[in-house]
Parts: sequence; structure tokens; C-alpha cells
Amino acid sequence: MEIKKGDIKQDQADGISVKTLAEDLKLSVISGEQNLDGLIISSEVTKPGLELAGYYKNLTFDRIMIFGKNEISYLENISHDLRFMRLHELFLYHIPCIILTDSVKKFDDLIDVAQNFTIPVLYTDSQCNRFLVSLSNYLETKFAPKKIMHGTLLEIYNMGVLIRGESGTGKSETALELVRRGHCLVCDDVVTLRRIGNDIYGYSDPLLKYHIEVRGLGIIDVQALFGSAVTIQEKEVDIVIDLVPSSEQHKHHFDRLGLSFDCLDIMGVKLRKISVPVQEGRNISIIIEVAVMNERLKRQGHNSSQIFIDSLFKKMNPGHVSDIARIIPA
Amino acid sequence: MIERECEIKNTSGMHARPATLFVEQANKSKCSISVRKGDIEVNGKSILGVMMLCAGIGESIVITARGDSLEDEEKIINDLCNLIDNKFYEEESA
Repeated sequence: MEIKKGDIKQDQADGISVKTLAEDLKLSVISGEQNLDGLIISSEVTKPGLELAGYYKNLTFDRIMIFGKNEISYLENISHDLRFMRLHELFLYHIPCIILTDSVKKFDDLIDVAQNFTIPVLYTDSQCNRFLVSLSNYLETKFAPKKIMHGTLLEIYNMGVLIRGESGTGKSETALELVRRGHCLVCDDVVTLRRIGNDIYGYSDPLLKYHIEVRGLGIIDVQALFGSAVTIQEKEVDIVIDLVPSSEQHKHHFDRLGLSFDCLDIMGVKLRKISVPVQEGRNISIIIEVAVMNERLKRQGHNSSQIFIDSLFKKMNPGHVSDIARIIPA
Repeated sequence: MIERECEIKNTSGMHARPATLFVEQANKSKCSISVRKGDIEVNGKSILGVMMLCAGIGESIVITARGDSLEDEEKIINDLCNLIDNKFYEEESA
């Protein structure tokens, strides 16, 4: 995953300490308590199978090493001298910590060599593959690239909707109305987005949490006013809706048929984007609700615009199969 | 696009009242304004955004203006920097 410098907050770029990792994932420390301040700076993890056999070609520095049942049984079955040599070679790769899984016995030779290299050894009794899943989820979240965006994030009919638009286009007012209609607010004005895997998640800065600024009313607390049922801490973003003020509308092309597939690229993830013109007297929150419902319908396989266009084609060309009218990619 | 770095000089920093003045000034311009402190960049026309920066005395912020003409950009950047340099006109009364 490519990470651009400007996208990441400083605290993420520095990495996380082995101590934090051990506490968060409830790992016990077998040796090297004094070296727990070391930093993990890569979300990559290695299970050193091939490396223990002497193949180091693709091994990079600074990776956490996992020793499961297989690795330990291999170590047990090679000669004492070879074992020492391999472990010495392996530990030269600046390893922040070693994690033993599968309730393997605490292999003394391994711990001795690790101590020589001041590498802390941690231990979990969970099964290796299961642990790898939770470890990579944890590291992906911690090392996720971040970006701050001006907009409002809501959960509407279980979909994450990021509403963007210039200041004064009525994002906050729309959010307020949507909350009043029973939808959930994630955050208003400043949305922090992070990429985990191929998904974008949005959440609020702790200071701003659930506060909205409404012109004329000032800063209001949505949770205090409407209750905990209408607020949600973090939500995956599914759709981006751009509100376009009347002064900007001549520059935009609005979809009249509903066949276009505009996308917005956020940190390498393409999200469905819908542009909605804002006009006085136009009820934006209802348009947003319908846009979300329509998107849900499309994802369930029912594309209203396409069905309409297809029937039009059939009527105009009786007997033909409507292939040319199919504009939408599968 | 014009970008300028500015140091906060008033004792209380960009708290509620200064942030309001800043955002009101920014909203007078047609340009899109963004304000950056460290790695955090927010919309200069959003009061919650500007307050979220928590820019205190001695800290630097970078203001960016993007508009249709250089004059517009220059004007708003000057106005905003004047506001900051003049300590949001609050120091004497405090």
C-alpha cells in the first residue's frame, strides 16, 4: 500500500511500541521486559519458515516474527550448531519482537539468542492462523493511512454517506434534518478518514465528537439533544454525495438518467460519487435518502434507470435484444 | 494558489472568538481557504475545523487560498494574516 506523507498523522508515522502491542493483544512477555519500548514501524509480519531453512532473499528489516508450531518443530529437528547459526542470521534483521503462538513450549535456545540481540519474546496460546488474523487487523488499523476531509459523515439506511460541499451549502442543516429523520451522525465538518484494507472508514476527532455548527444557532451537541441512538462512532464510507451550490452549477454535468458511474478516489479506494445541485426550496435530505435507497437497490441488482432504458429500447426496436442500451459495466 | 505561513501572536491562541473572526473573514472571500497546522489541514471557512487545530500562541499555521484570480487570493490571505498579526484585536482589552 502506498502511503503519502501528508496523509498520515504524526503519531502514526512513528510506529507503536512493543509494550502497547502486548497490552492491546493481551500477550504475555517471556523475556526482554526491559526492551519493550522498541518501536514497531511496519505492519508486515513474517513467519520465518524459509528463512530458518537459510533462504533470506525476500526478508526485509523491522518485521515482527511469528514462531508457530511448524517453526519450533523445525528448530527442534536441526542440529544445535545449525540452529544457533540460523537464529543469529535471522535476528540480524532488526526484529522489534518475536511472538510465539500455538502454546508452543518456551524454547530455551530461541530465547537465549533473542536475549543476546535484545529482542523481546512474547507469547500467546491462541492458534497461529487465528492470531495472525487478529494481529494483521490490529496492525492494519494502527498503520492505516489517514486523511482529513471537509464534509459530514452519516449513516443512512446502514450505508456510510459522506456529504461534501463548500461552506454554506447546507451540509450541517441537511445532517440535522437527516438525524431528525432517524439516521445516525458520525461527524460533521471535519471527517478523519482511514484506509483499512480496501475500505475507507470515517470517524470524528475526539474534540468535535457529535457537535454540529448550525448558522444562527451556534455549536450544538447532537448526542445530548437527540440521544445515543442517532450517533455512531465510526462508519465505513459507501457513497460520497457532493452538494453543488447554484453559483457552481454551470461547471457541472448532472446525471439526468442515472446511468453514470462517477467515482471519487480516496487514498486509492474508488467510492461511488453522486453530485446533487442545491437550489432554494429543494429538499436535500430527501434527495439524499432516495439516492442512498437507489444505490442499495442497485447493489441488490435492481437498476431502475437501466430497466427503464431497456424497456424504451424494446418498444422502439421490437424483436431486438437490447444490448446496445446496456451502458453500465457489470 | 497562494500559501502563507503565519504565527499566532495572541495569548489565548485561536480559541472561540478569534476562530469566529477568522472564519467570518474567510467566508467573505470567494476563494476556497484551507488552514494547516502540522499534518492536519482543515477548511478555513469551517469554525469547528479551525477550532479543531487548537493553534496556540507561538504556533505556526499555513493558510492556503485557491480562487479564480491572484488578486482575490492575495487579498484574502492579506486580510487573514492581518487579523492574526493584529492579535484578533483582543490583546488591549484583555
